[in-house]
Amino acid sequence: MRIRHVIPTVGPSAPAELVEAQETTLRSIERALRCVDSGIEVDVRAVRFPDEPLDCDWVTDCPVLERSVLDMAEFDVPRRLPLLWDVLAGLGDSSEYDLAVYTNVDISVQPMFYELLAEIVEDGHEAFSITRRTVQPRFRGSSLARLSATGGTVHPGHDCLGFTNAIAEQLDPCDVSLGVRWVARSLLWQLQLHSSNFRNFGDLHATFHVGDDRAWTNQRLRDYERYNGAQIKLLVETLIERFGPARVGRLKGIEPFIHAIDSGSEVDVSPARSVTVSYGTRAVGSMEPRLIFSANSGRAGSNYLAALLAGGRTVSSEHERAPQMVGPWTRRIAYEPMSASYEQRLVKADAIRMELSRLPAGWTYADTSHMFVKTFADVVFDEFQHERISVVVLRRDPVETARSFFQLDFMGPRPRAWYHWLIPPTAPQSAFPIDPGDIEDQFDLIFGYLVDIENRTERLRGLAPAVDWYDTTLADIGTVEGAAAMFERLKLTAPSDLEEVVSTPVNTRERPKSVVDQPVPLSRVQERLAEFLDRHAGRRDLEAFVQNHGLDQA
Amino acid sequence: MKHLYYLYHVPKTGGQTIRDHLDANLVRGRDFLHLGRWDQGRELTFDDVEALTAEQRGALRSIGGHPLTRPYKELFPDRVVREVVFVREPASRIVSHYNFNATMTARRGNPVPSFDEFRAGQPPNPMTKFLKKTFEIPSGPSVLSEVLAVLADLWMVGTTESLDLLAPTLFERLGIGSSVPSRSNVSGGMIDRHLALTPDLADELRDEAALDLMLYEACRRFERSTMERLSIVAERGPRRPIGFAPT
Repeated sequence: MRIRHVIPTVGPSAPAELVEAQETTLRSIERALRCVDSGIEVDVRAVRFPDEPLDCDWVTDCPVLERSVLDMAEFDVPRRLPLLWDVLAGLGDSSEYDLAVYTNVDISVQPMFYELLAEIVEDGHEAFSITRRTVQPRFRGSSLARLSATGGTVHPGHDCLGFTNAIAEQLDPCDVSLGVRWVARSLLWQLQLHSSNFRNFGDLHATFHVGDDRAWTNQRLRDYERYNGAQIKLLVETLIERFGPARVGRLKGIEPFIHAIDSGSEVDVSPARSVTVSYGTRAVGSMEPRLIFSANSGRAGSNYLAALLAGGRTVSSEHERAPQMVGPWTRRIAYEPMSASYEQRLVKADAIRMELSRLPAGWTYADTSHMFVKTFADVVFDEFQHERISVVVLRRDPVETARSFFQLDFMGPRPRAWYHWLIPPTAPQSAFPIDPGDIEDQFDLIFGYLVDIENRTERLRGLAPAVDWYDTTLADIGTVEGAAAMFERLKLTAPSDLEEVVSTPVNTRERPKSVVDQPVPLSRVQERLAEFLDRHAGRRDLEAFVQNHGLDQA
Repeated sequence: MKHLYYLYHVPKTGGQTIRDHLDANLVRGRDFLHLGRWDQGRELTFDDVEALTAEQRGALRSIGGHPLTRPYKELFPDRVVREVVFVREPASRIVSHYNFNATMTARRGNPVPSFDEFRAGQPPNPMTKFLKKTFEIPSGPSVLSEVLAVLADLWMVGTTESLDLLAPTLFERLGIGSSVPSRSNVSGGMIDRHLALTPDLADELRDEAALDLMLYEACRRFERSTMERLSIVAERGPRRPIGFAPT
């Protein structure tokens, strides 16, 4: 893997704090180069104005900047800022590298930075952004080691962008100025459009920036913003020609430029918002839509949940979205270790990624399916670990659920299709295995399955603590207050007709129940559940089911 | 035991290019069977293949064409079957299908339908639908899920866009020259470009073919694992020097 890393460096005429930041950056890169694996070649290129020398003998010196933004327009406060694409010219011949990386001069890197980049490319990503963390707002008294190890805060901006040489060959130049609002978008948007699998790593601690000055919010630079706005508007016109308005229109933050093009006006340069960044491990303002899934057993209200979420503003919600990962996928999960089918089950993540790419910016994707905890939660958690994921753990009274199962003859002897989506406790990979010889009737299979779902959910919760897990019940979200609380908890805007949505019956399956014609009184199901719990009372893997359904208090 | 190569042919995905190469290097009817009707008057059916002698069936290296479905495997119980499927980016596939259809219609002297008329006659997600039939998957809400599960275990899954990379290995295993011939179609002639795929149209067509898009994305993944398993390496061509400097 040949990595070529370009940095626009500054010289003695730059402000002292920027020179100091550059020193930190270069020291961090020098450390990272010492950690580079033998299979990775890194060429760090310092792109600079010829009259702004850099005293650093281990970088490839590229004094190629022959113009600045001052050559492009007139500004109230003259600042000799390089143009981004002139800096990218420092990458040189694309046949000489596999991966191009651009970082700002004040972005320091962690020691394993280059190895991480190589892994990202090996994972199949042709282009990506790694957003920085902001550490220690003052330089005083902080060593590189301390700065590097400080957790800091996440930052939503894009200041480290990587792309393969194949992508580099397709980029359209844009005369945007560095150090001014919107500059990164000229590259970011193109990477998103050209790459079929662009990834925004919004929660890594791979790069960091000392302090959070946000110089680009300086009101004195408004004419520079107008300049960059005009350049990006031109670029957006080109992108629309190449990719079509629908695809370009889905890019986050593109609306002012589309509006300016449509109305023939200048881009609105209302002051940049100074975003308050939260302290924590998760990305804020992540550009990717977030994802909502449900953990439930089936017959627990996930269809209703999908309808409820679909009412939320900017939510694309469906029940059991394609590919449902049922049938052969269920049987593989039931009869062989999950790892055996992992690579193949990644097709679900591909499908989700495709759907996300077609959602408008800022929309939330929701898939409520009882298959989630069985056949695809692991691939979702792995593939979307840098995005915000919420899982609604949706429970229903197990007696009612079991009765519904029985009335539909799930786990029953008739040749029905339940085996396409349910994992019986007699299957080798059940999360609550029961010896076939200990199965007395259909209810043993049903209750064993319900416990299996609870155990799978708990196992996933333990493996993915960073995921936002929200426990609720069908009874709760079946009320206007409970549904409103769920929307609030998920930070979604509830539909204005929430009352109507809540009162609309969903998926009661009355017809198939009448076809099966297997009525059973609730009292009988209660008795069977009590017997089941008694029989397996000594098992530790029954505890989650008992506790989470409040059966220990019953 | 010789392997028997099953070439499932999703329309407009490059199957004809493969068939032409087989025709040029093997004897049709002896070394391979093409079940499609295009240049032989009628489709070959299950009964036709069943009617072959054991010796004739044993000599076959490949069987392919649109009508080929999985149950044909029953006729070759003593052969190890290697199944091959190619799919194509859905928007470009349907435009290619239209151009082909329009060219053929015009050559017959009939009025050429508009693209909208043609689209209206096409089923939604035609590739998924075709493979559902090929793999004999019952109707239901989870067809794509079932199709993907079958594809996950096939010997070679690829995309038309990578045909040049994968086909040489297929040809080599079939024991014939591995160079990929230039693209062809059943008409044997040039296809008129009645319609070009614009970005807007591509977006619109993709909106109508969500399942086919997921199928295509999945097949790109399966293609990567096919290449890894069969040690197919994508050779990188010479790259043009590139610079972003002002001109």
